[in-house]
Amino acid sequence: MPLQSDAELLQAFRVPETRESAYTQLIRKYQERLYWHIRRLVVGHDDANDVLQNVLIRVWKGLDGFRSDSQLFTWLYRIATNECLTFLEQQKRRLSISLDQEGSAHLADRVRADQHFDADKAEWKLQLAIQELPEKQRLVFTLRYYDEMPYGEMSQVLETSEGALKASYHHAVKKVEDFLLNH
Amino acid sequence: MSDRLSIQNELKELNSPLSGQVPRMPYAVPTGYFETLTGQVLSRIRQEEVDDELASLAPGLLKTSRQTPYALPTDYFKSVQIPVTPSAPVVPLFRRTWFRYTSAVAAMLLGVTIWLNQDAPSGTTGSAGAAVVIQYKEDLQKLDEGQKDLLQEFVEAGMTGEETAQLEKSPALQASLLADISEEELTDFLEQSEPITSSTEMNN
Repeated sequence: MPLQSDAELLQAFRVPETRESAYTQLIRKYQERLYWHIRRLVVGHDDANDVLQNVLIRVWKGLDGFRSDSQLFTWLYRIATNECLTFLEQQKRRLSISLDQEGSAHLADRVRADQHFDADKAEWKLQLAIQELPEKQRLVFTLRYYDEMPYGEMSQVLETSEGALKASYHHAVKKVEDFLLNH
Repeated sequence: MSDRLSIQNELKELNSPLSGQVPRMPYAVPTGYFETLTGQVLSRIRQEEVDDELASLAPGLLKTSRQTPYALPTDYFKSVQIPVTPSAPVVPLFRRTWFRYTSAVAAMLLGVTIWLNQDAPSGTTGSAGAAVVIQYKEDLQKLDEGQKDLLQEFVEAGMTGEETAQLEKSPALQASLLADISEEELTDFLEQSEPITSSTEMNN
């Protein structure tokens, strides 16, 4: 079956006979974007997989209640972001990490532990720089720089004003720049 | 302006070293991950639905292990060999001997009836016979090519209306007709006719 529009998929999802097929198409449509959004925040593939599966199960349970006030894509990102933050919070607690900075250090260690890590390559340095950012700035930076999300949509995902998001992004970009120049 | 361009301009304004660079993710994903993800998620969803149902019906059962306790001999599934029995040949209905004979007899009886009606005195059953012939011709015209082929096949089986008409009258002729049919064909016919006989008996 060819990919359909979000509205058609939502309609098909509400019919018991086509529910599973519509859901399958929906996953296929958004799985990669959601995966990379999650992976950039939790770093490891296994963790990203766990979080993504939880997100998709939440989507299955909540899609009936989705009222199209926002775009489906924005709704999916909001669920994914919240699930990531919950996961990172649980991980911090499990590792007895209380401060934001220490949590970032732990994520930077995860980046270095990746089997393909190469400290000389710019893209890996950038990953380390991103993990040094405070949580909110990390989110804003990855949504803007990698997902190319407009501030208006990001404002719906993170429930923050566009002005605050722009300021966060600018701070994040400056911090990343400092990191790249000094490492 | 596209999002990418707008983001690049933004980075340029901030004099960022990221300006002009194409964002690349260095992380790797296991091969085939995205192809299997849907199946894994649906499997978890089904399991959760079963668990939720069980939780509402008998919460105690949720704590019980679902592992089947029966033991299997070591490497059972590696060693087991299921004998493959050759499947029985599928014989199309029109190729079955009993069907061919039955159809041939029916066709010949129809032919004899028409012939008898044609010989009847005019003004009595002759008109009825003519009507049957007309009907017969009409029926023939209604047959499609496949049905005509089948009819041709029955005719080529080597039996005529005359033989059938005399079959019940003369045991000698019956014997001579049967002489052309092999023992094997007769056995085959009787075997294939058995279910019909049984069902007829059951109905009676």
